[in-house]
Order: sequence, then C-alpha cells, then structure tokens
Amino acid sequence: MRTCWRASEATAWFLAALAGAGLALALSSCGGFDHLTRVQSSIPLSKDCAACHVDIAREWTASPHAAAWSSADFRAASNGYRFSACLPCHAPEPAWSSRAPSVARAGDRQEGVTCVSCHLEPATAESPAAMAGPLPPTGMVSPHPVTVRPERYRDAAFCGRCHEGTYRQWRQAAPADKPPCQQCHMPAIRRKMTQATGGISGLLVAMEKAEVERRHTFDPLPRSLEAPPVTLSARRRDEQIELVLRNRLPHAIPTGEFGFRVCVIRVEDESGPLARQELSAHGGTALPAGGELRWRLNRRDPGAWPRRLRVRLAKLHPDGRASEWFVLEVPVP
Amino acid sequence: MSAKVRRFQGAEIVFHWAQALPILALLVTGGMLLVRRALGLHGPAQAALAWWHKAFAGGLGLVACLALTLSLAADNWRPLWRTLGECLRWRPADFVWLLKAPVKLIWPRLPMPPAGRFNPGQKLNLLLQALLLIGFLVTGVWMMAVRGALLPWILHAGLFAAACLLVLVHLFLALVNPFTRRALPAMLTGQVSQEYAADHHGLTQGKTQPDRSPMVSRLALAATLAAAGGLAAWGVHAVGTGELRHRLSRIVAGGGSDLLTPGPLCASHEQAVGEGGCLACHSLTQRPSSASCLACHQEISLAMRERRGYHGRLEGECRTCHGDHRGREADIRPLDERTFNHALARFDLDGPHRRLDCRQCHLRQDGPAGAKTRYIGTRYGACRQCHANPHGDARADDCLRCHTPSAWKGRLAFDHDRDSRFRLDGRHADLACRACHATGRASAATGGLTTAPPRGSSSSDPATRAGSLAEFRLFGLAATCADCHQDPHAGKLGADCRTCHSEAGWKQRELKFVHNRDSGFVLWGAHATLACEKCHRPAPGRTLAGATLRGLGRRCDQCHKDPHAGQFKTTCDGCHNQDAWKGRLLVDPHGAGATFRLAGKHAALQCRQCHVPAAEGAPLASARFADLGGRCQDCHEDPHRGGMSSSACQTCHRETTWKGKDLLFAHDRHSQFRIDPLHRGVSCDGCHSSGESATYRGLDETCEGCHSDVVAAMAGGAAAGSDRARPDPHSGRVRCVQCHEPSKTGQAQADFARACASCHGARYERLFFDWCVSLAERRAQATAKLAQWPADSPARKELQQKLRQAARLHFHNLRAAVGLYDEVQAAGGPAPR
Repeated sequence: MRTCWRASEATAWFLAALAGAGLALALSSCGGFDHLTRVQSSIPLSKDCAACHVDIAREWTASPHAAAWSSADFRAASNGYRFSACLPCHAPEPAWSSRAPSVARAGDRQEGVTCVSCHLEPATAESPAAMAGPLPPTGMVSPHPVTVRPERYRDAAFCGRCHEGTYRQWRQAAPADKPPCQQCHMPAIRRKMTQATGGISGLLVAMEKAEVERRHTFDPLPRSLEAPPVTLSARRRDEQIELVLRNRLPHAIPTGEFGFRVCVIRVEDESGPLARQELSAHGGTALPAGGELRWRLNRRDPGAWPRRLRVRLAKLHPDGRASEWFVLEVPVP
Repeated sequence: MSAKVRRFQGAEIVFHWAQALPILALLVTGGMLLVRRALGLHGPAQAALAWWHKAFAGGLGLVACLALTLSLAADNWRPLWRTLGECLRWRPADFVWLLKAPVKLIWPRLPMPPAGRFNPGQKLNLLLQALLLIGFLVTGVWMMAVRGALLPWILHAGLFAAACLLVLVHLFLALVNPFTRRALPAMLTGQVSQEYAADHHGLTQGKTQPDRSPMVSRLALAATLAAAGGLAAWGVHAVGTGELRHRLSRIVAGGGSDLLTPGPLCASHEQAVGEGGCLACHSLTQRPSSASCLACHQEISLAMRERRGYHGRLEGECRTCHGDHRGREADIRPLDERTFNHALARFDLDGPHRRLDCRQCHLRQDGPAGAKTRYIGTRYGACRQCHANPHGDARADDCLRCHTPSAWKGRLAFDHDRDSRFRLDGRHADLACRACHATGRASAATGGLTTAPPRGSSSSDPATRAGSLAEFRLFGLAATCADCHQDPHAGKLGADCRTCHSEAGWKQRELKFVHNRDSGFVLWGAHATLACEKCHRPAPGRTLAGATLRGLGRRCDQCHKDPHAGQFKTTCDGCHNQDAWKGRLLVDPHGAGATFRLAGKHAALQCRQCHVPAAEGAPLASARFADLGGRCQDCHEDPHRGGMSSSACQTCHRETTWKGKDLLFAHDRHSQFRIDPLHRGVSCDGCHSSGESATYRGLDETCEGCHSDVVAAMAGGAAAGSDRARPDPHSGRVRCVQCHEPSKTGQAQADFARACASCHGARYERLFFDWCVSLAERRAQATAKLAQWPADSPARKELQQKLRQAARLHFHNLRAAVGLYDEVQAAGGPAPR
C-alpha cells in the first residue's frame, strides 16, 4: 500500500501537471482573452463577445447599432462612406478612448456601433484595457477585466455622445424624473449576462447569477413602454371633433438628426380614416416633448358622432411603407 | 583965416545933395508941367516932362529909403537921426526967435535968442520940407494910382506952391543972402568958420547972449525980388498979355478946370461938357466912371444893356478904350476902319458885305452935318435898307429866312427843311426848285407824279434851279401830297398818303407801308415772300397802285382751294399756317391737343404711311385725315389673337415700347402671377412659349405648372430615370420654395445649403456642400467614361441620356441622380477593337 500510494502520488502529480498543462494549453488554444480587449489594427469583434454574451449579441445583431454601417441607407446617405463627418458615430472608436467620438474607427467598420464601442475601456498607464459596464461581474471568472461604471451606463449622456440631437431634446424635456434613454430603448430583463456557447466559455461563465440587466435591442420604436408615448383626448366641439394628442416622451416625435425621420399619425373613426399627418424630425414639424397636436376633425357623417377614435402612430419609410408603432384609442364623449 | 568948426557930418552932406538935386529937378519939371497947362500948352512935351518928373520922384524915393536904411545900419549915418532929433526939439526960445524973425528983416539988429546948430527957421524949413516931401509922395502916388481923380492933383499942385516958396527962400539964403551965403561951404565941406557959427549958431559955441548979427540982407532981398519981377515980366511978355488974359479968363470961367486940364477935349465933348467943367466927368477921388460917359451916350448905354453890337460885348470902363484931353480934332474912338473886326460888333461881315466900305452901311442921313457915319446903334436885319425885295411878296421881306450875305443869290443859305414849312425829304430833296415852285402845281403832263427834274436841267446848277425870281412862287404852296400828285388809288385808300408813302420814293421798296403793321392781314411765312401783285392782282396793263388793295378777304379759301375735300370741319389754320403749308411743315396736327398724338415710332413715320392717299402718286392732301380711328387695332393686327384683353393694347405697348424689353407690361401689375425675383431673369417665352404656341393666359401658377418634370422626377419612377427610382424624401413634404427662395434672384449654393440647414440642422450645410462636390466628381467621371465611346454609338447616346438626366435631377432626387451616375460608371466600356 505504501508503494502504490507513493506511485499514485507521483502519478497524481503527473496527472495534475498534465491537467494543468492541458488546461493551460486549452486556455491558450482558446487564443487567450487578450483579444477581447486589445485594440490595435483591429478591434475585438462582436463575434468574440458573442461567444459568451450570446443573448446580448443576438439582440445587438438585430439592432440598428449593428446595421449602423452596413445598412444600404447609410451607405447611400454617406455617399458610399465618403462623407467622413458621418463616420465617427456610425463606426465609432471605443467610447472612452481619447479620440471618440470625433474619429471613425480605423478598421472593422462594418461592425457599426459594436460592443467595444460602448464597453471597452482602453488601457491606461494605471490599468489595462477592461470592459466596462453598469454591473459587477456576475460570473466566477471573467476572461477580461471588468470595470464597473453604473453612473456612466445609466446616464442618458452616454447615448448623447452620438445621439446629440435627441439627447438635447431629452435634456430640455420638462419632467425632472424623465427616464434616460436606456430605460425605454434597452428594456430591462432578468437574466444571466452570459450564455456560454462552448466548453471553455461554459466553464468560465458557470455559476453566474442572473441580474436585472438591459436588453441590447436599441429599438427605435419600443413597444414595451410603461406608459403610452402619447396621450389622447377627444371631445366634441361645435360640429367638429377636437382631438388633442400629447407627446409624453422626453424627446420629440420623431427624433433624430439624420436619415429619413418621418412619423405618420393616422386618425380613424369606426368607419375609416379621418386625418393623416406626417411629422418629420427635420423641418420643425416634429412634435416636441410635451407638445400637443390638435385636430379639428369633421365628422364623416354630419348627423352622427363617432364613439371612439383610433390613432395610429407609425414610422414612415422612404419607400412609403409605414411601420406601425402604437395604436391608441380614445373615446369621443 | 578964421578957425573952422564942423557943422555938418559927411552923411548929412551926402543926404542933403542926394535929395536936393532930385527936389530941384522935380520942382523944375513940375513947375514946367503946371505952367504949360496953365498956358494951355499941350502936346507930347507934357508927357515927357511927366515921365521925367516921375523918374526923379522915384529917385528921390530911393534916396529916402537908402538914407533910412543906412542911418539905421551904419554908424556914420546916425547923424541924420541926430539932425532930425535936433529939429524936433523946440524950446520956448525958438518960438520967440520965430516971432522975431520977420521983424529982424526990417530991423537987422534985433537981438535974437541964440540958436543951436539949427536955428528955428532952419528947423522949420527941415520939418516943412520933410512934410512937403511926404505930402508930395502921397499925393503923387495917389495921382498915379487913381488916374483922373482931381483931388490928388490939386493937392500936389498946391504943395508945389508951398514947396516952391520954401525952396526959393532956401536958395536965396544959401546962394544970395551974403550973411548966410558964408555957410554954403558947410554943405560942401561940412565946415564953417567959427565966427559964423558964433554969430548965427551961438549955442554951439557956448554963446548965450542974444544974437545981434544981421541975418538977411535987405539989399539982397530987394535985388532978388526985383530980378524975379523982371523975370516974371519977361515971361508975361513972352507969352503975350492977350493970351495970358485970355487964358486967365478961361481958367476963371472954367472954374480952374482949364488949369487942371492936361489937354483939350475932343470937339463933341467940349461941347457937351459946357459949364460942367472937370466935374462933368471927373470926380475928386475916383477915376472917371463910365456912368458919366453913358449918361450922355444913351445909345451905347442901351447897346451895352442889350448886349448888342460892339459895345454889347464889352465889359469894363469906357476910359479903358476912350481917353480924352487929346485935342479938339482927336478921334477918341480907337477905331481903325481897315482892321476892325466886325465880328466884335456881333455882326459877322460875311460874303459881299465884307468887301463893302463902312460908310455904305453906316451912313446916316440925319444930324446937322447931313450924312454922317453912324456906327453905334446901326442894326442889322434891315436888308431892305439896301436891297430891294424881288420876290414880290411881302412875306419875303424877312430876307434872312433864306438869304445870308454869303448866300445871297444862287446857292442860298435857305434850307428848305429848316426855313420853310415843307421839309424836302427823300426824293423831294432831289428836285429842282422850279419843279414845285415854278408853277406851284405839278405838271399834269407827267401823269400826276413829278418824280424827276425837268428834262435837261440839273438840280445842282443854281441857274436852272433858281430860274427867274419873279416866277417863283415862294409862299402859299400847299403842302399836301394831292396838291402835286394824283391819287392812283382813286381815293379808295383815303386822303392821307403818308400812311403808306414817304418822300423816299413811290415804289414798293420805299413804301412806309408795312403789311403786318398797317393792314389787317399779317404776312408771314410764305406769304411774306410773295410779291404784292400775287394777291393784289392789278388789272392787265395797270400798276399795282391801281389794284384792289383793301377789302381782299382774309380766309384761306378765298385764295386757296381746299384739297382735303371738306374732310375737316375746322378752318385751315387748324393745321396750316403761312409758314407751314405743305409737307412736314404743318402746324403740328399731332401735337398738343390733338386727338391722336404721335409718339415713339409713330412720330418717325411718314404721313402717308397712315394717311394713305387714294391713288398711287396722289398728293397727300387728298388722303383721308379725319376719322381714321385712334385705336391700335385700327392699324395693327393683334398678334395675340385675342389672347390678351383686346381693348388694352396700351397696357403693355406704347409707341415707344412696342416689343421686347421695351414693353410696359409689368408682370406683377398686369397679370395675376407675380414674378418673384427667382423668376425675374426668365425670358417671356421661358414660361409662355413663343411663336405660334405662345399662351399668355391660363398658365398654371404653381411650380409644378412649369416645372412638372422636376416635380415628377422628385416623385421617382421613370421621370427620375428608372422605374426603380425611389421618390426623393422631400417630394411632397417640402415645398419648392423652401429650397428655392423666391425672393432671391440668383440661386446660390450657399442659399441651398442654408435651406438644408434650416430644416435639418447646421450639419446639413456641410453635407450639402459635400454632396455638391460628390456630384460634380461623379459627373466628371461619368463624362470621362462617356468619352470612351465613339461619338455616334447608341451606347453613348444612351449613356449621354442618363448623364443628362442625372444632371437635371441632382438634388431634386439625389439618390436617383447618384444611381444614374453610378449606372453610367458601371456600364461596361466599349468593346476593344
């Protein structure tokens, strides 16, 4: 027994060494995790992040941020990426780099507004490059350093670095407790931050706790709002229906400085459309935060009053399609 | 030899003789003057004596002045003053001496008070002599200054008597009287014997006892008196007692005037003076005045008052020219008949008068002497005195009206214009006298107009001009024209020829008649250049004068036929006047006040372009003038074919502004479409087409109305180049004017950029410029690409079409334009050869 025991001890040590080496090998064969935070001629690609942050990556891929560069509209609007003024926001440097957001990313621009654009904190003299976020690391091991900056990531000003016009509108909006951008456009969800796709990543992100975090959909027309974006009130006035639509959002409807920003509002009664109005973020026809639209609508039937009115808010596309966003109904007293 | 004492100083001696000799000379000459006057001896010697007398007087005066000066200046002449002082010092004893002196004459031994250097008699003598000399000087100067005054002469003569006495006594005592004769050397050498001095001038020798020595020798006195008497007797004898008596009686009778008179008066004065004596002409203290002359010479006085004749022009006193006392036969008139300038008598002798003898005019047939010459008071003007009046008309008695002594016959001084009541003006002046005056009436043989002198006579020949005096009818020729000339107007123009005619001549060019002033018809313009006969047509063979001069009508149609065939209701002078009858000289019928004014191009037209004469080559006057119609349509076809309001051509068109940029059409005012600055530079046919298809009304006023292609292109689709072309986001949302500011004439890129930024924000300005650059680059590239193709290939045409389309689109549909450029760029190149 003693001999075996001595041999197993050696073997154990040999096996452990082997395991360790294998682990080290395995770890090194993953490519290391430096690439996750290394910004040189190329940046950490989203697919790298997606290896672990699967859900977030999936949401992001479907979001406008991912198409910020690759969309045909942007390509045309930037004259085939020739207009350099557009590029710093559509392919930004990591947000907290010294050059952001006045300079476009040198490489991998097709990523658009990618993970590292918001989350990468470049290396400084004191600290290495790290990923920043509002939450502390939830897993046991993180392959990249993490910096926790809740005040930064929960502040509308962060979005305002690129979305300047909308942020300006948000700032000028009246209510003091107005929600920041993230609240509506990155809806909250309770889940784990990472969903591993492979063995090693699984290993690394095992035993993570689910937290309330934000979905990275960046939906321009979020539907899951706590309250409707507009409030309606209608009443009879003389022989007409007076409809008042009030913008409850902390920014204008529609908002945005570039691109085709047109919102169409259709007012219908039971029988059919009564009014149609286009609001454009350009040209001053947007409904400002807290602003009202008033309609004096003629009754379809002079003898009868409609019981309720339906208001449809939709986003208008350049080709004439409308993406419906909200439909509200209001009774006509 | 007794001792000598100095009695007289040198100065005294010199002075004594220096005055004694002139005094003697004066006394002698004065005495001779007086005696000769008293004896009535007048002649040139008197004047010579008077001259010498004055010369000596002057010499004496000189001596006196010299003595005075020397006595004051030189010491050795002081004795003169001492002498004078001594003579002026009189003591009571001197008066006693004087009183005793005449008694001493009888009683030589009468004790006399002793005398000083000068005994009182000598003193008296000196003083009296001095006084006399002063008196002589004063009266002598007075006589010379006021010649003819009597008083100074009388005084002078009176003083002479006293002086004579004094000097004779002095001479007796100095030369004859033995007792005083011894003192003569004293006045030669200055010294006298002491004994003499003691006897006669005791005081100088210190003697105070009375002087008993005799002074005057009675014997010497008696002898002297006897001698003087003898001399006087001889003188009387020499002259003749009768003569003397006569003279004396005359002197007495004349009141002493004979004594005074320097010469006999002329015969007439002697007669006139008569008993008046000297005082008839002379006064005591004044010169003989002219008043006394003129008191008798009344005629001269009258002449002088009336300033007539010779004396009428003279100023001054009679005595200046007329002196008397020259003798009975003397002619006191300083008249030299040969050299007398008759003009001084205010009567020029001219002509033949000058050659006459004085007496031929100045002879008077009156007076006691019969015919005598009469100069004073002879008046001129009585030609009849010498000349008979040949004219046989008492009105011609006033010879001087026509004749002067130098112009008596033939060429008279008679000036018809001045001296008759009929001025010879113009042609009248060229006539011979006889032409009017010979018979008094015009000669009927010359047809009533005597315009030329009688044949064969020359008006410059006095003989023919004058004719026979008896024939001349000088007066009473009537002065009206009709008296000589026959009226060719047969009385139609009245009796006053002078309204039109003057003596300058009868012919037209000499007429005073000025048509414009003197007739009721003003000639101007063409009428003014016409000859009179054109309007006042004389009958054949008759002169203008016989033609109808008055009563011709004044209306145009009385002379001119109306070529307008009665078109005009107004009178001819509405358009025509005498200046402007034909052609473009008309009183401007289209000027102010006309119904149809010619302005602009109308003014440049020929009349006959609008007023077309009826036939080719017919005169313009026959054309239609009135009622041509003043609307544009009446002459001009409407090119707008009623497209405009037809009644208002003038809104846009005027005669000066018919076409093009001169049109008055103001889009903003005259149409409903206000042309904004953006469209200001667009030519009319840019919107309204041109030519046949020009439409002015009813055009679409929206942008889309004209720019439908742009609007369609913005909406996408085929109009934008391809069916796939999407509409521009601005289409239907942004109004054209939001980018194309209508208030700006030019469309600048900066304005578009600002337009972009005004909706989209400041960043879009940069974006716009970036797109401009990009489009330009694309265009350049596409053009370069195009150039690769051969010129006529259909591929090139197609690409060219796309290029053109893209260029038209640009910002109106940016995506489509970019797409087109990219298509051109993407099109393959031509196949290599």
